Amino acid sequence: MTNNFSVSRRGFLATSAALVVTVAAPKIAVAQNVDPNALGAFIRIEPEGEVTFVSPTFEMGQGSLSGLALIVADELGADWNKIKVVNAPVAPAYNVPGTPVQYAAGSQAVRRWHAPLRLAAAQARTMLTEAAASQWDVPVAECRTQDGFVIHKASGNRVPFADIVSDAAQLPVPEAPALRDDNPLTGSNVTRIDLPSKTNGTAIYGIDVRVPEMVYAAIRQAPVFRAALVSVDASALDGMPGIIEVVELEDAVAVVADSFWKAKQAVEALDVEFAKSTYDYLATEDIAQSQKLQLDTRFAVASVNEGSAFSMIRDASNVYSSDYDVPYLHHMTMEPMCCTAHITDDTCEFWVPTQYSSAVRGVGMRVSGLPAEQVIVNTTHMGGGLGRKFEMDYVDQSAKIAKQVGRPVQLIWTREEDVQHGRYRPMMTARLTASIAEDGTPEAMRIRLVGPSIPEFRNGIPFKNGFDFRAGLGITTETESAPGKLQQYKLDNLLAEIIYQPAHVPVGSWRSVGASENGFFIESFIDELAHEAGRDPVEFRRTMLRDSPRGLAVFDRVVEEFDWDAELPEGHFKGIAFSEAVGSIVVQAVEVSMENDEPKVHRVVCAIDCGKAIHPDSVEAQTVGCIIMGISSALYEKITITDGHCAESNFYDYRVLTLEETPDIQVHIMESDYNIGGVGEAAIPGTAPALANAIFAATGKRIRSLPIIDHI
Amino acid sequence: MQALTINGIEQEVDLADDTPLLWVLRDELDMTGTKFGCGVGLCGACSVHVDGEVVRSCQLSVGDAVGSEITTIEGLAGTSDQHRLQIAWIEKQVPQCGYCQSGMLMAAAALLAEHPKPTDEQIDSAMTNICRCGTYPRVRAAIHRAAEMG
Ligand code: FES
Ligand code: FES
Repeated sequence: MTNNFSVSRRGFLATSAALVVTVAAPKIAVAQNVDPNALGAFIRIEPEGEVTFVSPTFEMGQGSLSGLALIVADELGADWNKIKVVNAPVAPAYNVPGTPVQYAAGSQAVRRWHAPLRLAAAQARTMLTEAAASQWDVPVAECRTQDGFVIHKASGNRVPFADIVSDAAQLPVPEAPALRDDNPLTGSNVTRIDLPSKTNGTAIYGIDVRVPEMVYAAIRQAPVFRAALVSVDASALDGMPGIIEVVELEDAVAVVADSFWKAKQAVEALDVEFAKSTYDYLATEDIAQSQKLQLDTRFAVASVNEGSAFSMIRDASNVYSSDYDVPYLHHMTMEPMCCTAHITDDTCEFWVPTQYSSAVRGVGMRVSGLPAEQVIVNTTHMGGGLGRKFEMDYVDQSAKIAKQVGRPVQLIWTREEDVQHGRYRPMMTARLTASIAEDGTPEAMRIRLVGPSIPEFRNGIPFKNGFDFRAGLGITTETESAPGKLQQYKLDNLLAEIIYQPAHVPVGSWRSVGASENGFFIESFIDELAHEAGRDPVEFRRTMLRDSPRGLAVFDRVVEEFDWDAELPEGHFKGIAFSEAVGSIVVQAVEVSMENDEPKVHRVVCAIDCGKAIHPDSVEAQTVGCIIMGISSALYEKITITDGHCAESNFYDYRVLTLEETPDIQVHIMESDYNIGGVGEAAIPGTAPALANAIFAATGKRIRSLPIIDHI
Repeated sequence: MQALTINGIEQEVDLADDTPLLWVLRDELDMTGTKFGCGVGLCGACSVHVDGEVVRSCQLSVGDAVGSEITTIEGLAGTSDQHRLQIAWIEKQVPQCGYCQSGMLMAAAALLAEHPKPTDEQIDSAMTNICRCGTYPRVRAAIHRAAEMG
């Protein structure tokens, strides 16, 4: 594997022609002629000394593009202000390490790419310093790189990369060069690379792609998910200007026109009939009822079975149990689904905001019938991903429409289509049961989850190797610091079961996936146990965290910064939650009051330990972003199924948190020597339970079902 | 035929009068800095200035925009390199995905024009744009920062 990440001589060739080109769509730089199968896929040093980093990950706001560029620039000794970043094409070299595909999900960019990119940069740096050292005839160990120069301090020699790059290219690539121990950029808050373009309107998102000859498509999908298209009467379009074509798909119809506005008006004017579906009368309540019944089933798949939880609970004299549920949720990325495709006899090209470029290529191959080499995937900025742009529905549609029209087509979903055809976070029902020790803490815990399966929706099979790991995320641990089986808590007997509930509602990965629900279930339940035991929720959790110094340190930091024991203003109440997801530990304490029967959140104090913080400012930004999305979803958000279709359609009935409602949020970053954890999703799971626990303190009402405003 | 003045430049388009200005900017003039988020006037991603007032361009028909001075994100800085809000936005590293930020900046610029030193309450009531990434606290901080620079 090591070799895959090495720098090639080819990458150094001073004679290379322009290595980064601008393709048809102006302003989108794509590393078109990088030889992706060769070594040296990541770092290119141009003859003029310009350093280009070919990023294997995609930017959706999580800051990974800058995070990875920073790792490279730091190890290489490049000038941060001059480094260029381009998005990688689809090729094996850019597959996420340890996987056969290229994607951005699971808060993995920095975690998975940190070591291989650092190695590639160290190789390049070593070759540059060796070349300079031999020119100056000084020991290579005395040379270092900084801001795009190789420097020999004793002699005062310095040479820009540009002047040494062709010599360096002649040297052998070192297999395992030493890593530098001074990394001035790492841990600093240098300005993210994508910021200027995101403040002046020049950043190119999927919806901004402009290709010569391009036309626009608007779509109307079957309201009842996947109901077949039966007939289309397009007579209403007679005389409408700019209409190019009506395209019928299996479960949708699209109109192609010379502007999106015309396409949208036309598609809405069509008289369309979709087939009757067996789900035509299904409602959320029916699915919820069925999931509740399934809590009692005798058959379940155990995704975690540690110790003897089953028998301990069966034989215990003191058992406590609670049921919880969470609704379907929409991602609501600000940029709705969109994709531009162009299929000719010999190429299939996409310009697409996606988290999963390998899959885009697969769609292109399937729809166009062309081999992989003839499918080009240009990735753009994403106007939010949140898991939604991991999916291929909109890509598939755009390819099919483009194939029929024979020219570049940009498909844009209206917000209504976007809301009504989400890949929703699964509605889940849970039963948590514990046998209780004398001090009130749990000795054994059983977590039963009932809900649809994301793998089933994607691949037709609900479980892989016996379980659905996505549904089980956030229950156990992804860290090396866990003393037991339940996150960082000391608990050795844990049974986690998943019961599959078939449903026709499309589901997908929503920021932090299963952890976002499981965090709510587990931390609400622990709060209940503390209350049952008559113990303070902070002191109770500290007991359970006693064997995780790491978990305890994060917890104590929040207790201290929040000033947990201080009096709050009249009518204000507090709640706390611990969580572990994507390899990071997060604790949140919240202060709420009730105003006109609605909760108002005043303050959130949070601490996060993600191992090393490569760019602390991004860690802060992501953590705040998660907390805001966490508050929004816990308080307000819900997708309702009525007569087989989604009842919500836009921001007026899918309420999200506004600036005015955003509380004061404090984030404390606690660095540790543990493995680097993810941050893009880490702070989602703890927000809902912290709020629900605070509302219990405020009202005495235990919130076991979300969203909160439906239950107070 | 509609004659529009956008960022000080006269442009002509020939569209149905009820075409929303948003789609005129994006599809006809390829000025893609102004974003589509909801199409119903709720998210603010499409915000522009019309005669100095912040307006959601998905709700303004091109017919009604004729004769007005329209400013989009591309023209926010005017004759300078950067508007002070853009400087503050970078200094505070506000954008995440960035999709809502054109609209945020246009709304913030209109706010500063009216209240050069806005209070938190004034920011809260003026900044009704939606940001799914949760950049709100930094939006607040950057507006205060830009106000200081003014
Ligand atoms: S697109 Fe105009 S307000 Fe949302
Ligand atoms: S920065 Fe992503 S929606 Fe605001």
